[in-house]
Amino acid sequence: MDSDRLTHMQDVTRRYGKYRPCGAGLGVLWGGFLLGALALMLLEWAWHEYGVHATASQTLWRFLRDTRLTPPGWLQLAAVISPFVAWLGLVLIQQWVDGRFGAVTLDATSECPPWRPRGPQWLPPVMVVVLACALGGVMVWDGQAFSRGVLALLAIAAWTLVWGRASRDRLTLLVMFAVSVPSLYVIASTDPDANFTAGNLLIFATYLLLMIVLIVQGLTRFRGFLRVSAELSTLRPVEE
Amino acid sequence: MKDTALKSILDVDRMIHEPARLAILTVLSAAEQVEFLFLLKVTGLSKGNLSAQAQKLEAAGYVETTKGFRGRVPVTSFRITPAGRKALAAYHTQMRAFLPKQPSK
Repeated sequence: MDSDRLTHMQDVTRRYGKYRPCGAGLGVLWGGFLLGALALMLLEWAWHEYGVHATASQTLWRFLRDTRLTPPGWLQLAAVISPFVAWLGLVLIQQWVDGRFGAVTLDATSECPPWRPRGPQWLPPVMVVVLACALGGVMVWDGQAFSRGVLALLAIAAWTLVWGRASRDRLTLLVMFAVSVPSLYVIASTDPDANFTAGNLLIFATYLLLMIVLIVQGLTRFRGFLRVSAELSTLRPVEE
Repeated sequence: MKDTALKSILDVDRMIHEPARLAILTVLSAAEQVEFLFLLKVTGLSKGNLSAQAQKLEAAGYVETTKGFRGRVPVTSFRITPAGRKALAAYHTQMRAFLPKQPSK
């Protein structure tokens, strides 16, 4: 068996293992869809409140800045379940991808090219937990000891421990980060003493921008996955 | 000189020298863990042969096997052991020694 062929098999394996995580990049589209849907719901609700309660001279921004608004139950529910639905969707997409050619897990050290700065893989989940605890603390501080909102924040923080431990793929972790953080802010805005709604629009805009960057990375990954999949189909069999 | 070369050839690890097993170990050496289905696709071996060769490698201590489920579908995964990695490196060193040296330009 010639060494070129063996090297090619190794190369195909490495590339497949590199492009496979996060549902071969398709998981990002799922995360983007969820975040986009949540952003639309928030915007629709804010626009509706603006139409009903704003005075004639108030702009939308000024209205949201000056008015204490509490998100309705359906929006709170959507925010709470988003991180759960996002992760379950990612798992299902990954299972579908792995069902075609099987899973290949690379060594943690070989996943990132040497020229790219390596961020610690635990950072996105830890940031979500810290933020959930901080926002929960603010709510408790405002006198709502263990209200429904605080429990929802703690549930999202606990869920973070599940997805943070289950994946070490940077793209997957960032998608979950981008879906979880805006949800935390929607839930935190149920605090009647806070006025988060205007800020939430900015937070959603920021995370949607992050998601667009991630979607570009996801599509690049998917393109690589399609290439390596096509290559897998054309490999000559080993002599038996 | 010929005797030494002959002895080296006879000393080659037969467990690895077989093409199917060499291909399996080579693929496994590129990753931390590889599923049966991927090995099947990349080597083009039949299910029965791949299974038999993997069992031989496992018996030799070169490969570890893990069985699990993806949903309801049973999934078998393989990883190369440190002994397998060492044996593969030794095999490549031996093979390189057999090759005639390239004339310098």
